[in-house]
Amino acid sequence: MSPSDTRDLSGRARYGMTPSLHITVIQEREHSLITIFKLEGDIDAESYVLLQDKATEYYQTGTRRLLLDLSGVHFMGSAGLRALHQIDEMLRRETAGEDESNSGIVNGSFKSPYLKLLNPSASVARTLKLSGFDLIFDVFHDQQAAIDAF
Amino acid sequence: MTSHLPSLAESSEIETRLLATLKDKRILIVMGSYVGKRPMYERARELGAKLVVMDGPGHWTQAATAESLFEQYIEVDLYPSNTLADRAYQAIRKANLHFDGVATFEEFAGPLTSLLARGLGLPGHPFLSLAYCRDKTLTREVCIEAGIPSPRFYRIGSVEDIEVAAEQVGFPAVLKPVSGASSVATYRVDTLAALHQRYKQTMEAVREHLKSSDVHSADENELIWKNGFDMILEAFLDGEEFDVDCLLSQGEVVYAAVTRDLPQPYLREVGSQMPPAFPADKQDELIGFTAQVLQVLGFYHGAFHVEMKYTEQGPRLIGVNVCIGGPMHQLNRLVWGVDLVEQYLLSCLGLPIQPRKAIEPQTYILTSDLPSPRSGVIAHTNFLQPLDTHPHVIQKKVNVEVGQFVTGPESGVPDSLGEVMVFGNSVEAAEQIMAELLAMINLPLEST
Repeated sequence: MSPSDTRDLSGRARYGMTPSLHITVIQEREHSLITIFKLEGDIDAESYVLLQDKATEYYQTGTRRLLLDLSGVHFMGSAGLRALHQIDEMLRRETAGEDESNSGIVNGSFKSPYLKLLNPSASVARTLKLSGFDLIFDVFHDQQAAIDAF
Repeated sequence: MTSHLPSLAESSEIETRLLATLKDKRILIVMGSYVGKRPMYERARELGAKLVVMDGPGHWTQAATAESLFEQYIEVDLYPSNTLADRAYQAIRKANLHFDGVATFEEFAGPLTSLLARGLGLPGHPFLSLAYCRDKTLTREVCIEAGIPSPRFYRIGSVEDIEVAAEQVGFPAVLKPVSGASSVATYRVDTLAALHQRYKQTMEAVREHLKSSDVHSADENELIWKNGFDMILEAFLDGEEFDVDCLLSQGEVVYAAVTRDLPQPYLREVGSQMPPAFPADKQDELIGFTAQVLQVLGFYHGAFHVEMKYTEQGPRLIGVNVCIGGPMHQLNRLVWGVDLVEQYLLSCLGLPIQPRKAIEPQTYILTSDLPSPRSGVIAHTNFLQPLDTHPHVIQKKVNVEVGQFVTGPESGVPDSLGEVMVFGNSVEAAEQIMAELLAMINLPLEST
């Protein structure tokens, strides 16, 4: 069986097709460094680069705190986790001190002070929990509470 | 263990010096796992390592600390689980100890162990690699993305996913937990109706069994469901099942050995054979496949137990365990003279490893599970006594208690009543010895 025999990977990732992720950017006015990405679609092997690129673009123009609104995300697999991890590492690299960046601990916690997650679907929340990503990312269900937590 | 077993080869001077570096090194053990891992801790203590274990209140390693198996026990509340890493780190800091390494023998503690190692500035696996291995759908996605062939699969989060899963995967298929281990709750399903029935039965059993959210690291069967009840449906693969125990050092495979899992009528391991009666070139293929999988997952060093099937199209992955399985320590040591615990602990210190594998197998080992032949109640537990004085029995173990009701194949997957491990001077000899021994065992089942 070849990789292509996997047909529709997990029923979601569509190799060779147009990425299915749409990102709306909201700049939080009262907190100039905080940017909110409202994501709609799937974060899969085709689309995760869109998220990474968008995060890099905003990072380069000053964003240092990112809130990902996942309420419109139906599926997030390994590629989505890789994107979250990579974005967090990027934000930590410049923002945290060298010790904090190396240890992964900021203010006594492994939770990222730079990247937070909002309203994941039940399915995405289970992926975060099963993979241990809930150990490093705070998950919120109220946007204001998430912003206040930065 | 009998005197008939060949003695282990003497370590070379370099190996002896390397092992001596473990003496007085303090290693943090993240989660003590189930009691079957105790011999691994005993081996570490023999090597002079100081083990400090971190786990929840009442774990068996707490009592073992009083017996001096561990230098210290760091107790931490395991719940809520999403803040466990922070609490664990604070508790470790409070203990005010200097650590030389961080290790775990608990499959489910991978991501936590990675974080703590990084927090303490010590070597550890990449967090992302361990995250991929905690969920079989993630492992498969990463492999497919890297061009490694994988069976069709679909994640089942609720009963609503079943029809789509069946359509995507087809039949025959295998249903199992995404975070599974030891073939727990693993079933072959041949029809949509069977899939519905198995999924419903599994969910009912899990919800009945998990009465509390306070799951302990000693309760492997419960840990599987700790973070959710998601299951994976994947295409059933024809072919024999094998395990590869593998040591990586600086990104290279420095040791690998293949074990054959004996035919599994119920998709549960019922025995294993090391070395396997399987062509050497195909064993090399299994090892090469293992190396490829570990590389794409991003691993660089450490000990791994990789499960796969050898199909007509070649090896196909079942799962990657980032720890040493209970009996595998003993099997690898006796057959190939390589102590996985020693090597793993050295790698946890950040040292390069290069174990010496025997050129020829030192012995031939066969293990056998004792599945219950029918449902009933256990009348007594001394049914393995006839094996007490047999010179080729390495180990035997009873898995049931007097009065316990056990399930036979007519009611589903049979319970395991016990396990036997024997050795011989060839594969055939070991098989013959096992057949003779199994014929001596009279399983004490009373009808209900």
